[in-house]
Amino acid sequence: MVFNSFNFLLFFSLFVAVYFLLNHKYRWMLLLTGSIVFYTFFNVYGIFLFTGVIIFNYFSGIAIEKATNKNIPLVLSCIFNIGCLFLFKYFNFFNTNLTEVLKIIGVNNPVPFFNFIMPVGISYYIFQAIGYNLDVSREMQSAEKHFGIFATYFFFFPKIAQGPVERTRNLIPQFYEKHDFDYSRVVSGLQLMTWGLFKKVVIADRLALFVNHVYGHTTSYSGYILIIAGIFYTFQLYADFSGYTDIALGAAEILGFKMIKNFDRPFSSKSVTEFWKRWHISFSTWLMEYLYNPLSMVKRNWGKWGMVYAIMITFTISGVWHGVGWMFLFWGVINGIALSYEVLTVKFRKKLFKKIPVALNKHISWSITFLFLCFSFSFSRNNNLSEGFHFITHLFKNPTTQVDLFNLGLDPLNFIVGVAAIIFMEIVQYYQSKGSVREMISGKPMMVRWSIYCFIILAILNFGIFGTNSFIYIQF
Amino acid sequence: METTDILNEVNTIFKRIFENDAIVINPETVADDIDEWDSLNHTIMIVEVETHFGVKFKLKEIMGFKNVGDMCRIVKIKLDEKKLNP
Repeated sequence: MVFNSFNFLLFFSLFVAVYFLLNHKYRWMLLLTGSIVFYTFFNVYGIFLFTGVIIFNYFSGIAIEKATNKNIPLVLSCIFNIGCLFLFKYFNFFNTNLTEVLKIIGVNNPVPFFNFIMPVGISYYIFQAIGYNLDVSREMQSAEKHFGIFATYFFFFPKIAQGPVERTRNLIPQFYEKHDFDYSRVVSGLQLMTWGLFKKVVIADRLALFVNHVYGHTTSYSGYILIIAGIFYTFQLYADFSGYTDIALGAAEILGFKMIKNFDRPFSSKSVTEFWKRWHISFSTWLMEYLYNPLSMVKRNWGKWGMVYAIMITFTISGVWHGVGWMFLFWGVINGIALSYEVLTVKFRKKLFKKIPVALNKHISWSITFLFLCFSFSFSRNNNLSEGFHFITHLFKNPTTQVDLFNLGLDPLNFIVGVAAIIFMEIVQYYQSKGSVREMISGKPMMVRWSIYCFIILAILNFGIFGTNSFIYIQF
Repeated sequence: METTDILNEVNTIFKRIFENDAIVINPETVADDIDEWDSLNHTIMIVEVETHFGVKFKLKEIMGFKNVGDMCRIVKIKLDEKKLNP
């Protein structure tokens, strides 16, 4: 059940009504049951693995807390969690590559393939479980003793499919708090959900028509078609993922929960380092907290090279986390190289920029960063390395055959609507830099407020692309 | 050495690393309070503090620093241990 479906609208409306009618002490049971029902719409069999992971981590957290030498249960829990992720997400990829390598030397691969559909949200819940065990081992939080609350935290439907990558220390205490029905909070949550839906169905799913068409036949195109597809894909990815996050955060807010912020105007970044502080924040802070910081501190005597070492490992893992395949690995490595460059040249760039007018400096930095992001995202969107190579080598070549731009999934009207919607989203984000847009709207007279609501709802109904059944980050 | 003396010496290190003589730190100071305190400067600062006081932090200790005060407290414990077991 995806957020942009009628099923979810029905499910969520009923759920909210029952949730607020129910006594607080029974609400976690409703949240757990509702979340399990929500999850089974994706994959019934995945529920068994998910439950197994929850049971294991419930006991591992308690074992870590009680142990004198916390390293033993901590390492065991990491092996279990990473093992599950490897088996269900990466095993077949490794086996495919092993088969190819063995074929070269004329040997048949004796290792059978693992026939199981990758459970939805596995990368998200496994990382949350690892973070939980590490927090308990560092005594940053105590092990959760209430199994029902612990399971509800993991199954919590707003974040079950594609995050945010929550922290138990942030969300678990909220399950113990009583959340009364609060009209202004519900309105605020609905505003966020509506804005998320706008980004998903008006922008992301519209741009997807063009992007999927071009990337489906990458080798047939060159020049400006690939450039437009790359830029469109960058905005599609953002509108899709941040749209999902807005719906998730809005749904949680209606129920009285405050989840981690996941995006903060990432395309306003003036460096790749800044971008990673603004994009998929819950995941990048997870990597920073549990991977990058320990790695860079262990190698702190290497100075900047210690940081480069930590960055390259962190971003390679980030790339692999995002998906199975060489394209994701390269995407991670490309980003790692960009961040390493920024670390190694930080003093030189500061000196250089002091000689350039501030406004010009900002525009140059922003342009370089945005072009890099478009390049790294659009490259990784290719289906394989050979298409990726074609993409890079044909970006600035004139098309050899006549191509009609408006015959690639979007007619002129839909093309204009897509571009206008991107501009509208960026204008809204500009206002977000001045403060909360939702608070700004709330402070306006009723006529203005409802005009804005009607405009967005009508835009969704008139220009929304319905019927798509997934979000991009759900596959990760 | 008392914790306040350690804090004063750490303040001097901060002024040098962040190239800002106006910096005044206190035990509650955190990264968000100082503009230039990014991960690079954080690493440099930890190494400078270790070198200056002749101590070595454990990874678990560094990961547990919530503010400058936590770091100064660990420095004091390590200096006291060194005094007892030179």
